[in-house]
Amino acid sequence: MALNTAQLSWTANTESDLQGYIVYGSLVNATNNIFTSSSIIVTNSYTFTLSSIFPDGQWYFSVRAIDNSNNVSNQSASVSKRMIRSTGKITVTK
Amino acid sequence: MAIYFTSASGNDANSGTILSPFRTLAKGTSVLAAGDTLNVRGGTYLEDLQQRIPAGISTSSPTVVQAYSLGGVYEPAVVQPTSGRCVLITGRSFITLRGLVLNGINGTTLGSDNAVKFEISSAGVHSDHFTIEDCEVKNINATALLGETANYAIIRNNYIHTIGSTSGGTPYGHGIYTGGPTFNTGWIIEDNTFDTINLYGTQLYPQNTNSIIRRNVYHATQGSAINSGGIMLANSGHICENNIVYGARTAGNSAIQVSFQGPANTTVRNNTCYGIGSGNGIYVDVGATGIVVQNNIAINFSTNLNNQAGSGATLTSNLTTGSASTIFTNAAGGDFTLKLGSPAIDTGVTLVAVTVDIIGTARPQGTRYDIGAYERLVGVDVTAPATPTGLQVI
Repeated sequence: MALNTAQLSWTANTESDLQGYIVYGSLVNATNNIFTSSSIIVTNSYTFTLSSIFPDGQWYFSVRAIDNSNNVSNQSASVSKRMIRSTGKITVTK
Repeated sequence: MAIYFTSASGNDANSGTILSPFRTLAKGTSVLAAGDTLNVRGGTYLEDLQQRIPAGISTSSPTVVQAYSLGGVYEPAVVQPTSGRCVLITGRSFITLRGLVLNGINGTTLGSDNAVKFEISSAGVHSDHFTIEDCEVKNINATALLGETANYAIIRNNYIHTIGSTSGGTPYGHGIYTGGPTFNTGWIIEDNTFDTINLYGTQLYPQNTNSIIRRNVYHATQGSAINSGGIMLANSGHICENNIVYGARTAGNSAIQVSFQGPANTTVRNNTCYGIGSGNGIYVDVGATGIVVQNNIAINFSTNLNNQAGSGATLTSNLTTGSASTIFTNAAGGDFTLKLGSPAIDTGVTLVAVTVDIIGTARPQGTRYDIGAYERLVGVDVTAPATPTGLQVI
């Protein structure tokens, strides 16, 4: 997987009235988010690509489930990945 | 209008004020003039009210016999005669009974010892505009509330239970019965709870017309296998809406039955009927005309919707298939609110005349009317989904 891409997946919820999931990402920790998925996603996977507006670093991710009545679950345990926007040649300085 | 008081600790030689109350119902009612009120303090009164209450003046000035209430809570005033009926009104109109406990435990004459009978006199004077509200009616070996050739009765917010008997081989005991001998009209029966009734919970039969039955709960009616059920709508012009009928005691006739006396122009809408695997949910008899059956739930009967009238009945948006577990919150526990995802939600037709459900929730919630007695509140689900697990990243 490319260093500028995080491919997330999780176990699907079983509620009959599930609307979908909200994905959170952060450079600090999973509960202090600087980014969420732009809309509620309906499948239990999501791909996040580090664009120019986000800095390189150790990214933490988590998800919440949301139902049709807009009730939201607790935040899942987080996972993390070191993400680098530039994949160019490494410059070594003496 | 004068106001008098009767108390179990009073004395009939008193003046009948709250500080100097009478002792007996007989004395308390004997001083009433048209439009007066008798407040009955808490206690058990071993006497009846047969032809003791004088007629009132108008619907806004009835003669009232009521349990005394303070802060909206009635004192438990029990009318429990040592024999016979609790209340008889013959040829007297504009009378209100309110908040009393009518206990017929000592009435031993099967089929005639009613809780309340209001009737036309032999001289042809009616007992119209009779109101019974906020009462508990129990232990009656006959029909509980019997009106004969009585118009414009209001029976509201009563708890009517443990009614009827099969002793002697003949079944007795409707919750409410509108008898003859001649036509009567315009009853309102609303917000009552009926439980453990041997025959019909409410029988508008035979000559009653243009009555409204709404927002009542009927449980364990039709205790006898013949001639019994939840609601009987004979004759014409009735509206039956937002009622729940469930848990018949035996395999009787129907939860809601439109039949007898040439039934016509009656509407059955937004009711919930839940059977015990036998009988009919909603039954429309042969020859009925102008019957409208809309937005009802009827499941778990032998025949959920039995229309014998052909084109004499219009059937629209009734839910007669599916299991209770997918429709209701908890049918086994008597909770017939609609569960999230129920096929009854937002699948009814718009009925502008039905503005609320059985508990007063405005209709519709969401995009369309719900089917059945309950309208499900939008957003009432406050249970959050489970926290997602198994999150991975690559």
